[in-house]
Amino acid sequence: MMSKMIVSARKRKILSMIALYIAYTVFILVFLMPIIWMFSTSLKPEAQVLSYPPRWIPKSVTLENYREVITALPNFFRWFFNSIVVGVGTVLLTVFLSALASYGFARLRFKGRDIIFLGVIASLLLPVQLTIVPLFLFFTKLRLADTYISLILPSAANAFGVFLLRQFFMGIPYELTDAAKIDGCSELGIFFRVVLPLSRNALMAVTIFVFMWSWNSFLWPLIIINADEMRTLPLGLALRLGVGDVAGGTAAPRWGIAMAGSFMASLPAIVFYLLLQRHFRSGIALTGIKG
Amino acid sequence: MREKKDRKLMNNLKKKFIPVLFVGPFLSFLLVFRIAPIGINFYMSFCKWDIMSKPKFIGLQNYTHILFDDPFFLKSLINTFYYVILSLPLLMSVGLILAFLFNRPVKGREVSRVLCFLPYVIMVSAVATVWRWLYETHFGLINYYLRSLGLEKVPWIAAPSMAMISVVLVVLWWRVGYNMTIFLAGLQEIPRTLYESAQLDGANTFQSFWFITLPLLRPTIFFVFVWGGITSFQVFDVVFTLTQGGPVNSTITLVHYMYLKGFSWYQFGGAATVGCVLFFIIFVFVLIQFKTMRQTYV
Repeated sequence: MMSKMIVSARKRKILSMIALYIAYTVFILVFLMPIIWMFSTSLKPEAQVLSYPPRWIPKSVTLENYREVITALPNFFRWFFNSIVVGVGTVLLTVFLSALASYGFARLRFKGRDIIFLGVIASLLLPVQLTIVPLFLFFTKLRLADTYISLILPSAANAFGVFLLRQFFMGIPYELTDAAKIDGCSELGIFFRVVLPLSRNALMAVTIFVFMWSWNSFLWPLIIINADEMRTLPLGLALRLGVGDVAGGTAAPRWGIAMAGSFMASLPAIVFYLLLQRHFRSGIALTGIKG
Repeated sequence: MREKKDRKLMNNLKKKFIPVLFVGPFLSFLLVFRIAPIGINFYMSFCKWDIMSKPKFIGLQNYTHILFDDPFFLKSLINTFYYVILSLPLLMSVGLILAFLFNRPVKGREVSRVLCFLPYVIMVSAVATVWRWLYETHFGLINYYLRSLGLEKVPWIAAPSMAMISVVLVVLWWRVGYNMTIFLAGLQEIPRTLYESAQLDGANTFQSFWFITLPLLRPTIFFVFVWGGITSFQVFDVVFTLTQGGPVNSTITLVHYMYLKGFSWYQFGGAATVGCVLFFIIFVFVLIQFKTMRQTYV
């Protein structure tokens, strides 16, 4: 009797394992499939792109699509460069401002500190679209449309980093900062020499967040940038490589080139993510827990 | 005596100045690039302002116009709600299910977690390009597989009735990794000892889920729901790139309409008004969430 129960329990375990592995495989395929298809199509010569039935492995592999992207869109690498400049600039500015402010909210005492902080957090609930029209008029009047500045400055007004970092800074033991104070260190000194070095993980999480957010930013660049050479990568791709555009408007879309461009644009982010994925996901987990 | 007083004053000033040094820069940016523009936007929503003339105060006319005379606006409103109602529960439930699945002690769960999040880092334009192909009615990959299974081909983004659903599915593929990661972290915070002692007391899987997992996961679920709600009302870039608001305006959202009003038709006052409506909706949504949460927590 006992042996029968043990056997059926083991059978159930094996069955559930098999079901689990099947589920894993299905999901892995679902998440990977579009990306692989993008890559595969980018390697097909134009004639084969629309072949039916569709093939996963191209009959003949060619790099002509990639070459076409570069020649048809001479600004492609410029867009890439723009996104990097804006991303790095945004990260530097935002992390610097947020870290300073978070330290103030977490470790300093001053009148109204908690009320002001509440206001800062409340600003997270204000949709950014409310700022779009006035900021557009502001930058346009100052003739700062189509500049890096117009893309970097507004992004720093984001309370997310302050929210995260304050939690983290509050957790740093006071013994460490008190010791530094006794040694005659100023607040600024404590900030740079004690607190910041200890906050590597949190700072890295915020950096990744802010950079990815800036890299993928779409609405604001769409509005404020008109010159093609100042466009950021998502913008350039959507407007110039928007299927049907390369090769002249309403002509039949050139999927091979569109896929090649999309893949080229996605590859850095994919590589970046795969290398740093642990930091990515622990950073996000951090927001969930603190939230 | 005087010198001592002066030095005390200096020290006091220094003490007061230091917080300003830390918090000031960020607050100035917040004020200039966030708070002030919102105030201006609010004022602009009561004005008529196109690019040529000066702004003219017209009271509530913008609001009455879009609410009562503007079927296009109402369409965008309905579409946005449709999107939120479809996407939010899906993103939450699938994210939760995946978090559970990828929490089981089996080999290959790490790979699954990594790959589940991978779509998230791909930019919207690339996502739209690929999915436009996959969704193509006549030679798209998805319909090809449907037909080889003997099913009818589906006009994913060609038919107004299907378009928003197709958009939601893309967003699901694109964004579920984010929710999964947060839920996973929440799940991993629950100490195993709770499950073990429950098992000793004779609880089955469902009971331990209902009485241990769910209550302890509630704050996480609340956060994901509120944040997800706020961001999903603002949906724009995926709709702009995947369907351009079509076909037949079936996927125009509030923010897309705001963009058109302000930057295609140059009605800045009207665009500001749409922004205010969006804010109002989000505000009410968050308010409702917080009120109901307080009730359940007591």
